Amino acid sequence: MTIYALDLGQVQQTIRDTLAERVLPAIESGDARSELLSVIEMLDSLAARLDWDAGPLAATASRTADLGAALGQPTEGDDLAALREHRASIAAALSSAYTNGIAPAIVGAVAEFTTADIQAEISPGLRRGLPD
Amino acid sequence: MTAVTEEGTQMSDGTSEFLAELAEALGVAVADGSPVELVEVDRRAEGNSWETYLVTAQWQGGSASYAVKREPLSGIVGSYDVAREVALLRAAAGLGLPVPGVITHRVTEPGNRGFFVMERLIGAVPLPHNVTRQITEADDRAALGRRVAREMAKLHAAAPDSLHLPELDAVPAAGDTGRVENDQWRRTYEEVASIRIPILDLALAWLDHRADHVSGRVSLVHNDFRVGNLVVEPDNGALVGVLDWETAHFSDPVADLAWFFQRTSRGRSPLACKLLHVDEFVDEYAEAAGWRPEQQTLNWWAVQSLAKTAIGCLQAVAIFERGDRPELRYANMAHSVYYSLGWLNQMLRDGEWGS
Repeated sequence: MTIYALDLGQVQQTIRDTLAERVLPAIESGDARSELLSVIEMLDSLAARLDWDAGPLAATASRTADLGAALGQPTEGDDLAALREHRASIAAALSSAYTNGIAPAIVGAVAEFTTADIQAEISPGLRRGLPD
Repeated sequence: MTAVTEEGTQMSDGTSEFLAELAEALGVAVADGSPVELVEVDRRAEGNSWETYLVTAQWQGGSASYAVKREPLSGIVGSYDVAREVALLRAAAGLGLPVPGVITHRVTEPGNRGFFVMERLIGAVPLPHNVTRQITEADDRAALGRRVAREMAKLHAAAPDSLHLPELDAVPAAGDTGRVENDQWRRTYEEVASIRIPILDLALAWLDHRADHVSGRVSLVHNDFRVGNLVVEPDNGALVGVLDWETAHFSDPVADLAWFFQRTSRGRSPLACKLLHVDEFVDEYAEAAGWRPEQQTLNWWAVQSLAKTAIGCLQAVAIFERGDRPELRYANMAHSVYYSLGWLNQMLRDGEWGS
């Protein structure tokens, strides 16, 4: 789950700086500048108050646990640290999947996991471009 | 001189020294040493690699427009070697490919980023989302596709040793092209993937397992053949030039075809880069090249292309995470990586790889 690799504080700061330093200087309308300044002020207030939504993270961890089970890799925990660990364990198993001939069930398990993972994480604008 | 960015804001003084050096270099290269004034400087914001400028230079008795590329502060591709790209452009020109001529260059020095100046090709650069609007006639788009196929074949026909490119890595053994590529991209993936992605883990393992599916040929490959690296005539889409040779290297020529056919460039369309049906492109290439890529080889490089695209997105995310480029378009690739993964998964579900 690549999005969970992002530091939310860093993302929030980049959004804030983008608006304040690159967008605001180019805006001529007084009303629009005022609105944008309010947005920036709120972003400043939200700093250090952001965290990943527990529901989707737990769902990601659950999907990962299911895939781990299919690969014979037991997993525990549903927080971010556990997710990293589980994914590393699965990666180690998959890297040697073809050593003695891969089981079709493994391919199927990865495909099923990935289908759900993509739907949960892809940029909304890009989702339409994928086959159903 | 008016120096502005694409957004219309004036550039910082840090660029002024570079532009002064650029004017001096052009004075030597095109104006017999007489002073050159850069009357227009347009810094382009597109792309994730070289710093790009379009400049108009004026001197006593002449003027011309040029495209300038300067080593970036931080890009996605690891190496921005001026000497290497100049050598590649000159080699491609020597083969008769339509590429911009190199006017002058300076390699990177400690504390001073290198640059090279090319003739500016006049035309339009199509992009996947607008190619059908930019080249409105289907016949014109197909003609461009056929021309690209023939130019690819021309590039691939050159024996690597005949090109005299010591700037590039050694030519790999013909049967090892896939293994070399997969090893490189696996190392990159392990460096940048702080949270692993199972389908990429599986793809890299499969690519290693089936590394013998490569064509057994070695050529100079462009490595980024796509519509966004073509300059075309605005009225009929005729090819003017092929740009961006920075990642060209010796590998399996089928890699270039698979990259041009990549699903991320055409979505559900059966047309390579929305120009020409994939089968017709292969037909045209085979007629020009004298040999036809096998389907299992095209499949192997298709999987490799999608894996490489996804890992490239992860590289961009890593650049953002390190603070090298505090730009949201890099962070957004944490989501957009799933587009290439979606097509990789579709290929897996269709049985095109995995076993």
